[in-house]
Amino acid sequence: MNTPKSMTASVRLRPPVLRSTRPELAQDFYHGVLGTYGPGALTIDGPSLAYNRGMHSSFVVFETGVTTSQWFPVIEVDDLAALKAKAEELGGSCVENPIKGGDLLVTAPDGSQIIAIDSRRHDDLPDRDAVLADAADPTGPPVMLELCTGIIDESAAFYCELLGVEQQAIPNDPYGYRVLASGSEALIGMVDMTSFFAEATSAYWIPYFHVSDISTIVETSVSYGGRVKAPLESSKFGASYAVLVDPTGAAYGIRELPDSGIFGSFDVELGDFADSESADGVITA
Amino acid sequence: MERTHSGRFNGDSLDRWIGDTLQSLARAARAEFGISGIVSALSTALQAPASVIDTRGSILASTPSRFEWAVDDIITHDPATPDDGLVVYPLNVEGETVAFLAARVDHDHGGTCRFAADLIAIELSRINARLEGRRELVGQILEDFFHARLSQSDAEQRLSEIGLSNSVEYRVIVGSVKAPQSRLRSFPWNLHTLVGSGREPFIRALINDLVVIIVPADKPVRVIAEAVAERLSRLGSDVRVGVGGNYRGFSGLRLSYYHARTSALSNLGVTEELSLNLSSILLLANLDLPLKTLSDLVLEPLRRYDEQNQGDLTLTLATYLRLDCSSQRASNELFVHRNTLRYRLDQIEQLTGRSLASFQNQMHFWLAIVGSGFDIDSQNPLSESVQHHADEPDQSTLDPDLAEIQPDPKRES
Repeated sequence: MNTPKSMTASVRLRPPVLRSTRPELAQDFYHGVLGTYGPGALTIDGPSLAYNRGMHSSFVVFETGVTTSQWFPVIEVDDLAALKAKAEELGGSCVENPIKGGDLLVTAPDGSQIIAIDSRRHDDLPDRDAVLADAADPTGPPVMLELCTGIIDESAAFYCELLGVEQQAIPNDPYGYRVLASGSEALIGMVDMTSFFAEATSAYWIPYFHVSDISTIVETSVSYGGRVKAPLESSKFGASYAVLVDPTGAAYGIRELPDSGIFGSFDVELGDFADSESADGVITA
Repeated sequence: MERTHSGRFNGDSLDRWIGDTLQSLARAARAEFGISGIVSALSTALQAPASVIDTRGSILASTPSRFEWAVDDIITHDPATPDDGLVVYPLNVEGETVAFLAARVDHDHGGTCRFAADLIAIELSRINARLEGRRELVGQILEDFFHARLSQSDAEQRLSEIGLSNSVEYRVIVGSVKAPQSRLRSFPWNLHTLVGSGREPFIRALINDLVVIIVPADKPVRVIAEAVAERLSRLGSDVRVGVGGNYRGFSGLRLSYYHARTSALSNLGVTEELSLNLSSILLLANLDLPLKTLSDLVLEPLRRYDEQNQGDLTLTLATYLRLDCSSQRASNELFVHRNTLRYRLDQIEQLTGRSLASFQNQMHFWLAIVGSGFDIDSQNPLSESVQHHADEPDQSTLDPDLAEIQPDPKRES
């Protein structure tokens, strides 16, 4: 099972959710793009899609009833009311998730949003866990989450406080990349988009799916109606990555990982790369 | 790059910069760094972001890679718009704009952006020309196969040469659009594939005015069909995309093609899972199609029922049609009560989803009976019917007032 990543004792990172204007089309698209290559397979169970790629496993759920398509991180909390109070105290805002009653849609000061679910009363959780248990590989890394934000200091501070994690800046990085980590475990990436994003762009999250043949998957994605938002590039973490948009308009990423893990040789406790050769080069993903 | 305080070059430094830039662009093109190499060299020289974006807004190359481009502004860019901080040049292949070079600068100093655009267009045309021959070969083989101009053994060999296997199940997607054939021919389907591996995840060809795509049945056919419709909509109006069914073997591939063509002609947009209409397909195919395969498919539900229940639905249908849909004569010949005949005809309608009251459906079934090789004259309905249908409910006791049999007109006509 793809065990939820621990942050604080009361907050756990869950697999991301796609809210799509056309969930069935999106499901077929991701199934076609991610399920074709590599040793793993995708398993569809109702509205959910378990993404199992041998050593690279993760899990996504599709929701509908929205006007724009977008991926959201999901956190599971024991006390939703306490999380709401904390988010508001930190300058964020919360509304009840219009898709799933009882869930919270938390908006950070930068406009980015995450979904918070209450583990004690969420009906879907047992089903999600069951699908995970059947389909996912416990040894694989989860989907990597990356926040693109125009106010990275404020955003990093907000999410660190809210999630109970620590931030670590990548040294000598021109784009101010941060890694949010729980203890020695790196969980989330953050990129300062002021240097290359349009001013009007709102902050947004990108889930990066781990693949084994990234060039082919970029081409396949386009053949299946996707568009490339950031072309294939090597990252500082030793991964190859690309950012795309699915046919329903949601941005997603794909990464071909180095053996060393989702953030390569970056050592959170050291605050630097264990492999010094990674110190130069382009950033992100 | 030396600039004045106003951001413009001094005369000598501008000339020097232009010369250096043109040289570095030419070097990048020669060094086979491809499009991304040229874009990177241009961006370095301009000290500004540069990119190549296809007509769908998909980015082929960008420096910096994650620079956020306003793709709509680029695609609809008007060179006459002053001071928008964007230089855009269309990239043409065979006279068709397939992509754009964009740079975040106020002016194209010394025509360096234009030169980079020309280099990239030449590169795209070169790759496109290299693949053009193969695409035409694939189209010719498929056209010959679909129109049954190849012998069985020839077809198997030639289809395998283009990557198709008799043991794989395929579905065919057919798309049409009101656009000049030259645009359809030169329009690059996927620039990322064109400049990448050169291999799309499916086989694509242009047969007459139709785009034909062959997709392994385990691929997301609906997604691909929608992508086909989206691309065709960029070329013209009246976009129609049909998805053929999943049938076995090479004869099934041909059937799927005609099914897809029929579906495409039936509606605007994407049409999938259209019920097979034998008479329409016959007209389309001009008889160059696997009539036996088609006919067997039409009759398959009845034959399966007969096999499982020792029934005579196929015989009943054949007899009823042969006797001009006269229930009196058919029941006499089959030696069953008219209510029993009606019960069987109801079953036929239910199993096939088609009303026998419709002339079109009568034609559909009659063609299937003939095409399947059903030997009506050799049947001996008398002995078989009496034996086989001892278990059927006695319809005469259910509705003793029945007169002539009237098939259900509410069913599909």
